Amino acid sequence: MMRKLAFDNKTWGALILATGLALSSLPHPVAAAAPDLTELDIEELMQVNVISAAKQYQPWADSAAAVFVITNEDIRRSGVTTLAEALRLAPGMEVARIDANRWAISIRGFNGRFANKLLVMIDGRSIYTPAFSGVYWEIQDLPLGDIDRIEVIRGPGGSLWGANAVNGVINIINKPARATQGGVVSVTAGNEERSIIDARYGGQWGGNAQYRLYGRQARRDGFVDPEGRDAGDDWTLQRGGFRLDWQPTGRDSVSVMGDIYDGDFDENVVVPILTPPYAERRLDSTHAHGGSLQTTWERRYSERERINLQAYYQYEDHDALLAPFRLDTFDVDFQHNFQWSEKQKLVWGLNYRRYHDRFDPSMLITLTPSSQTSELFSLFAQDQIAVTERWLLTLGARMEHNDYTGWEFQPSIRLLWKPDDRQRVWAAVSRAVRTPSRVEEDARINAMTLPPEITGSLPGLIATLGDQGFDSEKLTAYELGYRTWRGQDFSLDVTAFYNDYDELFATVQGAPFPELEPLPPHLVLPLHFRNLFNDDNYGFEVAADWRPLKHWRLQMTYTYLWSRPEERQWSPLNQASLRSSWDLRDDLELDAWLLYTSKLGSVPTISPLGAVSVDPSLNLTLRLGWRPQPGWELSLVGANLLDNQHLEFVQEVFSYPVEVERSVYGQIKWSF
Amino acid sequence: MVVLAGRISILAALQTLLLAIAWLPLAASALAADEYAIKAAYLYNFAKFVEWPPSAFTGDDAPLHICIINDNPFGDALASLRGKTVGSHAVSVQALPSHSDGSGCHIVFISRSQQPRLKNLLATFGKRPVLTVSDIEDFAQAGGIIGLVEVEQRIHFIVNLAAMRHAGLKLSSQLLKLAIIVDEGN
Repeated sequence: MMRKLAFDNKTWGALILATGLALSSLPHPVAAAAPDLTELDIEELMQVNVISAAKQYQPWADSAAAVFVITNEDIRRSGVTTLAEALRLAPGMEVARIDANRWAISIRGFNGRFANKLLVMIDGRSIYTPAFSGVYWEIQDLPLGDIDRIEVIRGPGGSLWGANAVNGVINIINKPARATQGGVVSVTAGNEERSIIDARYGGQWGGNAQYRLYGRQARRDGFVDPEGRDAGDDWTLQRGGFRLDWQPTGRDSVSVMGDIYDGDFDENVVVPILTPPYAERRLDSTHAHGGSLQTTWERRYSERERINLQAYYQYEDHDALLAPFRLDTFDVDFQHNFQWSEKQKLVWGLNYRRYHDRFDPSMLITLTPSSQTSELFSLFAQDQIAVTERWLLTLGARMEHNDYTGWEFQPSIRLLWKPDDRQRVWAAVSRAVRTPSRVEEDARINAMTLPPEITGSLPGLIATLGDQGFDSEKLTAYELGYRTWRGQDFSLDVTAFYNDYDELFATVQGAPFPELEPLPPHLVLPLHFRNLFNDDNYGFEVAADWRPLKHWRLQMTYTYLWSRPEERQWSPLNQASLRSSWDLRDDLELDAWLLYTSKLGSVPTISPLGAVSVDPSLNLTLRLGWRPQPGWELSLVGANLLDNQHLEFVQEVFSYPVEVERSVYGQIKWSF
Repeated sequence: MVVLAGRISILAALQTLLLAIAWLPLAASALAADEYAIKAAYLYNFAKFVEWPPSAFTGDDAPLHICIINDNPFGDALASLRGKTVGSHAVSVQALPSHSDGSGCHIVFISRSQQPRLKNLLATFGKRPVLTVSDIEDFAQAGGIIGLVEVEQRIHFIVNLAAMRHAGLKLSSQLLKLAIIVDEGN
């Protein structure tokens, strides 16, 4: 009956061990046997975690969307050490490492360092930055052990989550403090992961509150360039944070959480200069720091009704060659869920967000105005109607107002059919928008220099110019899904989609004009941002999960994405992954993960390498985990084992290709 | 051997560190248990905090009967209740077939498999001094007395005050202040 949830068991064992240690000098030693729950009073019983049977799959089964959940256990056994790499576990994800500290991550196409059609949230806090539209993945190097799950939703989520949830939404959900009681210290070291130290401590605060504190420091080695020379893209990041969960009454729960980070990232860029050879490779030292403070309050009136109120503040500061900026975000969100009749569940909510940014001019990017405050407010509602016992209809829409494009309307209609207890079929039509970034509205980016031989007289500086009339990009998506399962031993999920995009970003040439500063005099060849072209893509994703034996689990994903040939330099046509998790003994785990990605078309770069294309790649990760005694876990991981180095992605601008190296590391984890 | 000795000394150092921070409150830390072990413990607590009319017992020493209607989802978890007493009443646990009228039961736990028959069952027990408990969804809203629900991986309980009054039972205020309350007649 008990779900195999290694973490809870381990925490529990570790707790007993730790309690025993801490209390060994006290007169009442704590017994290590399972407690007699009938000795607990109701208040204590209400604090006991449920190790629930067979519920795990249920919440997703009835979802009329392409949902995939990466669990904490999946992450632990995958051998990855960063959040970004963990996303490779989900079908449909495009995860490519640009260099040691940069990633291009998207879903259903349009990938890039500045991939802008994927909304990402941590515990309901958006980490999508409207400065350039995208996510800085390197600063999201969270302690993986604290993540409860990552929900990856492919397809538009605009009606529920708001703008920029165009091709997908990623919800990273951390564990509540009560699930991280006791202490954990883990140390990871290897050739690429030079040292990663995680420390966490969680405890009880009074009778009805729990807390945890954590710290993480990671130092990582850089990769190599295509010639095998050290690319110098080393990085370090330290972060710390806390979470406090408080249940003042039986129906209220309050959480307060916060974190700060500080990191240094060395990045290879090729920048345009106005004198021969007109492009120069640089190692850009980026310093980034930031933090967040968030509080949520939930009240449950009954099983059928609850409200949530959440507020957060976050800031991020990037001191980089490319775009030095600081962004402050303040957000308030209200949600009300209730069942308003036997057959209808309604959720509606309000959101207000305020951004304040400040850009420092750099040789590559200048913004006018350099500092700006913008506001966003929205209202959404979603009604889930049980038309019959077998048919579930979900209607939703969000109205959102932003300062650039005014009101945006994002509706969706979803239908789920339950032919029997182990199959679901669903279909959806939805609309989502990607709102303009500050860069698209207000920036000038000096992208590359053409030598005088080409332009005729002066060196020509190609510069993109933002357009204050730049409008939202729009998507209408059509999806069809099927899933089936046989208890816990087998599940299969297939989704097909057709995406129809309108008013996508494009650049058009403007009239050249001379410019005297900076010297030497040069000709500016402007490219204006416009919403010019329409596009479409389609594809399907498959995820299968099978336990051929009690101690052996296989997980397979396959992703097919058809897009215009020009888009295939960013997003692969085929991706496949096969993972095997095998419990050799109760204390010994052997995991293997094969990942295939088809080729990417050639990307022109201003580096001496010229146009660069990415070959198909096949990668293997192996992990051996051993628990010599309760509370201790040792693991040995080899990633990218099949070659010394391989190229995964070439960044859209200022790119200097860097190749991913084989990595081997060991980890010791002690829970007490 | 040198490596091993080194590791042990690190371990010793960490443990010293741990003991140094042992002032942090560690007691009553998060336990985890099987869903039905928790629910069984709830049944025992309900037995302690619900007051039955004297007529519900044949005598002062008569046992308190906890009945499980039809297939028993508790597995071995109910074994922990055997041999317990509530006041002067010994706790007795028994499984009942679904057609039973449950006469003599003080607490009736209705398992999820009985959902289709829920209306009939509640009609049978509704006006007798029987505490109906279930983890069927919306049980208390449907006229049951106590519904057990899972909230963020923990078990909470919903009390239907009207149903409790109909049954002639009283619930201690200690229990009520922790409950989610619904007050719907049915």
